[in-house]
Amino acid sequence: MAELQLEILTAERHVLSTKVEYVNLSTVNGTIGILANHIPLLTALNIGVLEYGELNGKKRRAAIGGGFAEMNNNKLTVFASSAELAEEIDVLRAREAKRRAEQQLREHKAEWEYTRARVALEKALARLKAAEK
Amino acid sequence: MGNSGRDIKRRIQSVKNTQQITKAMEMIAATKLRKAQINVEKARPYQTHLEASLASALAAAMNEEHELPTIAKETKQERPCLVVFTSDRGLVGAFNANILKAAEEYFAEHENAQVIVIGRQGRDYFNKHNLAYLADFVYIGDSPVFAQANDISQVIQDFYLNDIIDRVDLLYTAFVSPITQRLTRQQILPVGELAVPEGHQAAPFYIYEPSVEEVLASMIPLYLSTTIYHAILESSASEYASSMNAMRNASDNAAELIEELNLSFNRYRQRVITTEISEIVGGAEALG
Repeated sequence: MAELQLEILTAERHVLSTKVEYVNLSTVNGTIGILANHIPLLTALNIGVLEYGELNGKKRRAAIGGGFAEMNNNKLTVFASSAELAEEIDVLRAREAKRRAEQQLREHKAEWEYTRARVALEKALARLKAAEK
Repeated sequence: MGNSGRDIKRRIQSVKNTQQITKAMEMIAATKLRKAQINVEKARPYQTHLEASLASALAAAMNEEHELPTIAKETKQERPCLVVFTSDRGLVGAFNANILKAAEEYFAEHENAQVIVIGRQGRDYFNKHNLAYLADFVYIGDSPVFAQANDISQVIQDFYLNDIIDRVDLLYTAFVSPITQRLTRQQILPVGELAVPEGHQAAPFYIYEPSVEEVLASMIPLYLSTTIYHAILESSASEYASSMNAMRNASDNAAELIEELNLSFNRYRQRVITTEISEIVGGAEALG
């Protein structure tokens, strides 16, 4: 099967650089799948899970905290505001963050606090989902 | 006479103690500088690539005459805001003085300029001179993280989208090398037309999913946070370089002072010995 290069970058570090068979991106309009030699594409990502298939057939996941992705020259570059590979995710911390965010959402805070808590909840859920075995 | 000998000794000891401290501080600054330098260099490719992608998306949006998201629109640029990056700590040579002088120049150019201040030294300066600021961010710490830049960027976007300011410039010290740092002023809002960085090849036609506007709306906040993160990293590397140089100068000065004091101590000792000998000789002659 044809392969494409996947790069996941954040401002702080180079999270991943590997050859893959396919990538499923969680975009603002739902999930899109990218295969090798996809035409040049720029897409907005929301907070969610990125899935990719390794060349050995294994499926892997990463949690993405929003950003955008660029496909060009058979290379998919993901610019994320935060990103963690499944094995890097601290599940206990994500659970704690989820609990805290849910509690804050119940407390009917001011609008900006509400937005903040909702973002925190989405991120926690994405992390937990990515870390699932 | 005996007193002055002890005085000199005491002074030498005190200068030596100071020298030990400045030497230690120089070493600490050098270690921190190395770390900060690595961080700056790690962050640069991301920044360049991001700018290139943003540049091509903006160009595409303009070619096709799309309605831009509010954050990307041109403004009249009548109410500028300066974001000044200073250090939290003192003892960093002329680092803060230089940046604050450049800030004053900006205020002279733009009389109605607002300011957002990063770093304790800057905030103290504005407080002392009774200058108002829109927001302040202090205690950034030794290892800045992206989340901090994100917070600053959030606040800037709030002011900008609520039409309190309509232009944003960053003022920070860019790190060139441990001996050279350059004051840099960079406009980040309105985004305007970005030049595609040299050597970067962008695809001529992209598909924008779901639309150019949506892609820009998610790119620009990321671009702002990244640029601010970058400015923080550059500024902190420059701060350590400046601190290292200041401490090296202090150690060198201390070494010079110790040498001078040693010389005058030796002179003093010689004088005491000469006096003693001439007294003994004088006494022996009187007896003889």
